[in-house]
Amino acid sequence: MSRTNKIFFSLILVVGLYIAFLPNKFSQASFLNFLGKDNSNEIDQNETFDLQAFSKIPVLRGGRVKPLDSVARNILLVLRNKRTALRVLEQWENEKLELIQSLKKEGNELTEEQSKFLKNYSKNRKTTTPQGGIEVAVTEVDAIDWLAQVLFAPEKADKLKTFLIDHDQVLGLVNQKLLDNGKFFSYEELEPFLSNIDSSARKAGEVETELRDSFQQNIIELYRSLLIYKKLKHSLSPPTTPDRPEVLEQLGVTDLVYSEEKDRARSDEYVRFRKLTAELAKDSSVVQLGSEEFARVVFFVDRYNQANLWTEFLPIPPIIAEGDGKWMKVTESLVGSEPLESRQKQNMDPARFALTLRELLSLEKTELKERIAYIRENQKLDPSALFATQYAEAIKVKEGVDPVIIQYEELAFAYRDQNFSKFNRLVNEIYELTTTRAGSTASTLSFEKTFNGFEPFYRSAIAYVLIFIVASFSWLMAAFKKDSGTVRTLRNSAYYLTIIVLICHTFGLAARMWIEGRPPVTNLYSSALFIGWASVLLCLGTEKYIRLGIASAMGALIGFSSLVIAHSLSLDSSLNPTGDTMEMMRAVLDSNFWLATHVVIITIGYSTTFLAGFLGIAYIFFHIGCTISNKSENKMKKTLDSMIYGITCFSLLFSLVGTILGGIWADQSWGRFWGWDAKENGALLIVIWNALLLHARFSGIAKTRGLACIAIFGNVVTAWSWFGTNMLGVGLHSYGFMDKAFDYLMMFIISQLIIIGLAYIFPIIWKFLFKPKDKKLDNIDTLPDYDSLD
Amino acid sequence: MNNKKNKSSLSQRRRDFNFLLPLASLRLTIALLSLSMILIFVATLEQVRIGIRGALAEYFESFYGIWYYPEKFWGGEILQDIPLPIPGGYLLGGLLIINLTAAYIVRFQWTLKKGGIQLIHLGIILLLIGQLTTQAIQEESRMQINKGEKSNYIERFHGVELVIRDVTDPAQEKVITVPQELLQKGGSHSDKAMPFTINVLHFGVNCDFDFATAEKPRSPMAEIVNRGVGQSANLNLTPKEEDFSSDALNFGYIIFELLDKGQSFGKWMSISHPAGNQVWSQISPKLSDMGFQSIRHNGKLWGVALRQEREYLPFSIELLDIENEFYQGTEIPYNFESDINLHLEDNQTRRALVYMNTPLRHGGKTFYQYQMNDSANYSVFQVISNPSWLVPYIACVLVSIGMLWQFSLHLIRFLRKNSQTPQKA
Repeated sequence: MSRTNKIFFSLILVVGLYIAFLPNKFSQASFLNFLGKDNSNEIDQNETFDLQAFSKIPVLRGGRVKPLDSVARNILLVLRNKRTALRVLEQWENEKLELIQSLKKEGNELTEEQSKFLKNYSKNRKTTTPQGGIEVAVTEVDAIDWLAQVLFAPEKADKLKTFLIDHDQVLGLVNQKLLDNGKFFSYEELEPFLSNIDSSARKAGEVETELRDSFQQNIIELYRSLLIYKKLKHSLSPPTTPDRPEVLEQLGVTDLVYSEEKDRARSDEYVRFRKLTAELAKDSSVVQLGSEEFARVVFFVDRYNQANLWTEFLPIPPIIAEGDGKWMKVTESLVGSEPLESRQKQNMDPARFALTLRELLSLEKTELKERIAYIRENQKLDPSALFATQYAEAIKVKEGVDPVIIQYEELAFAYRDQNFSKFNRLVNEIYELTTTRAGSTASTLSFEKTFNGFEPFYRSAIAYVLIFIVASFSWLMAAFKKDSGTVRTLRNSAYYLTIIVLICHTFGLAARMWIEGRPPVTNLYSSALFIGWASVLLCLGTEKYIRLGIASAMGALIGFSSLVIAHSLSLDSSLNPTGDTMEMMRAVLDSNFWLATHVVIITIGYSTTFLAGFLGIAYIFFHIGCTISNKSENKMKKTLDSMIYGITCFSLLFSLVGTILGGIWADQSWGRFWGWDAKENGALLIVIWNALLLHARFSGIAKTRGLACIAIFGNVVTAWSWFGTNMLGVGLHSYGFMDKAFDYLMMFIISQLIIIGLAYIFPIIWKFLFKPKDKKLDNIDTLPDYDSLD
Repeated sequence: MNNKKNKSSLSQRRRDFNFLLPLASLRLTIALLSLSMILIFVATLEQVRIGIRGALAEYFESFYGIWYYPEKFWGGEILQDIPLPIPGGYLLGGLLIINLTAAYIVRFQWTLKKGGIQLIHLGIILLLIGQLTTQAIQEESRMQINKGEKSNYIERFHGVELVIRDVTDPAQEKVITVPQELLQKGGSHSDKAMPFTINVLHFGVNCDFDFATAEKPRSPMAEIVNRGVGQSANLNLTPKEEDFSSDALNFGYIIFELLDKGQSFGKWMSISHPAGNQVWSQISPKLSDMGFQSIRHNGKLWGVALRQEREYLPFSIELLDIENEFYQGTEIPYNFESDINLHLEDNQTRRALVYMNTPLRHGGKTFYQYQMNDSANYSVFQVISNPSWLVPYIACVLVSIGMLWQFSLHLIRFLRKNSQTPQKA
């Protein structure tokens, strides 16, 4: 290796390391953060909110205990398809910024306050967005910053641009134009149109999912986004029902309900409610219809039951003494939840309800708990008894107000008062308390938070582009400059770069497995991650022996595409309604053994088939290139031929074994080995196609070009069974109707068919146009191989 | 030396079975594989239109199917009228078995080196045979049990029977059943144990029914019914094609006449509920007798009903408890579980849990957790009897061993010579 080459080689590797692991512009965390280096130590505890610490607090959403950081990111992903919100800068901010920047330019010394302002501002990425036809400066607000504002200072959050609307008719509905106001909107901007959105979405909801047009789908998505946002706002501070004063007066609860003037916090109301229930618990004789005391309790239980519906995550960790591991909503911790749907109350017999409740309240607490469990188990068809159990629970089982509620309220005060040290102290207290109560489920929280910021798949995707460029460059060098040293250096750099990126990609997969406690593939999103990973791994193995840069380039291409596909899948609202790509598994899929065997093996089958297909594409382009430059393709042809063949052998192995294992799983869970379900058929198509390729080669029907084309068509078959079958919306395997993806799938299929077409037509046209005198061209196989199959 | 012997054994076989040579051709294999691709793809598309069971009947469980290009696709307006014959599953499956078997005899070298290939193909033959037999003999039924109760019979998902019970003496109930095949033929049916004959007037596997009103009176077919629920509930009935989609409900119906010595004493109507006749009372109290329409005749009490075809088991299952859990704060099911007692033939009892991915296998039948209603306290098992269920497992083992064998040989060679083309097999 020459000196320049050596320098170049090391430079490439450093860039690779920078993209894959080191602190950079692409992500918030680097591998240093995993080693215990915490950003929070850097900030002054008395001068800013320690949002990093805040983001680690555990809550339950989507059936999984996760840090607030994940909640914030996932929800923003649903609302805005990004992991940040946007804040339009105020006039004075813009002016001040300009002033400071001009001062700095002129070389003036900045005051401490000024430099802090500049630092704070430049921390986040700035862009512009159209507002009323003119571009205005906006700054990105981190997910956790946004969440803190939504929870503690909603009036501020309502001004942040949080909602993505990019459908022209939906924009029309909210009286906006894409050109004038962009596609991101704040809650404040949408508020005047809520009733319009609501009625349109309701109408659209009446149409069957498969038959909805794009407006209907988009309006429903917007409606859901707004609902999530509203629920999120109320997750820590339940809505207060807008009861009319005379109703409250009549019930005698005017002094009991929360009032902004008199009370400091909502928990004052909860404390008063607890007093009411404590009295009832002592003297159950007043439990009867028409009694004033009881009517008040009924009022509050109803109020809290209503509030139970308005929450996006469950903030109250399980009570250790209960030992049931049950997370709760704020109001749920006061009154529990309704055992049946509310409308079932119509079927209640009021007299028997009161009788049962009195009976229950006369029991001792431990006895009462047993009795409640008994009734819920054995009297499922008796609404009177069931609703009585909720009241008994609210009155006698639940005690006091959960300290976590009060701490969160204090946290909100500290946030609004900009009391940094108090906020940071409370954050630590809440973290301690909630993680202790959450127990082992909270063990991965801190890691998950750092993992979120590390964004290994985003880093990998960027690095794959670099690999592709380096590898392609090596071919260019090989074709035009016969400088074998440089070519070798480039290929080696691509190879070692692949190793670096693969470590990053592997780390991402392994981290997800650790957080979820599951094998790597659990849903469509993770299948995309895994397909990319397996392909790159296989390419690395191939490149180790055949250092031509082809496997590196194709691996990088597949790795990059699969990560982009994964990202778009995470944005698909039908596949991923909560924005969390680590969702819980449905009962029938909840089997780590089968997920680890069938799903992983079949996914490897997908990736190897894709790899063979992409090698086929590489060959076709090489073939065309040779035709144009009128060169012999002998050695390369042989190599690619054997690569396609070897990898297809793997494909057949994995897809066949995976499919058979799938059959065995189906036999275990649905009682039939094979049910001709769409997804099963898709997998079978891949098996047959791979078998067909091998047999076509054995029989000599297909030579290299035919083989390459069969392999390329394998891409079509695999794409079909990976996505197309999900779009059919039939069968047990279909997990969502994806219509947006349909166009992309079609484009992909057409592109593959065009390449196959080119492989056969291009040489003929070229020959016809230029009639090269060199006889060598005839060596390139012109056998009617692939065509003879149909 | 050994190799030569093997080669000569192959040529010996080729001479002996030379008529098999064209059947063993690789080109035939490739043609069959390509046609299978078309079959599977078309049948998958067709599932949207006619459901999985429909596609099964039309394409996989037949020798050929006729496909019309979907109207919704590009150029559908013009192309939709052209009937395209698609080779069916029985045809392709059968031919593949023949092709493979022939290849076994006249093309494969029976050597250790090629042992992997042989094992793989043997596994494939087994899989094909296993699937063909499964399609032919597998039966799917359901068993519904209320919590705390026992059941000793299963009901077919598809297929009905007419049942006539003599319940005069509760201790000695006599039961006569008329299977669907006989009902479909129509005509009269009689039995020694039955003092009357049944004359089937109308029968079908699916229908629409509703209560007739003044504006919408009964159809001529339903109008003739003058006894039983059909008359008292003033039921109207319209025959319908069988629905093959996977979540279809097919209501089998019958209108029959009872004759004593050639003398008619009434015309009845009966409809079978696909989820079991006990469901009728939930639909309307007027229909609650559909599962048992009583007939008094010559001092004896009879009950008739059309019901899903039943099979009584030599053992029974008692449902002790059910569990239906969801992930906290979500509607994603986490666990469906039935806690059961299996009362065996020899009066012994065995406790068992049936839940997702863990069925109960007993007496040649497999019971899978299928549906569950937590508030109404019942559990439904899907019951499958498939004597060939073990075949795919054996095939799987053969194929895996064969593949490992063959590909490790290849891999070793590939790594050794890396860039050289591997030998043709």
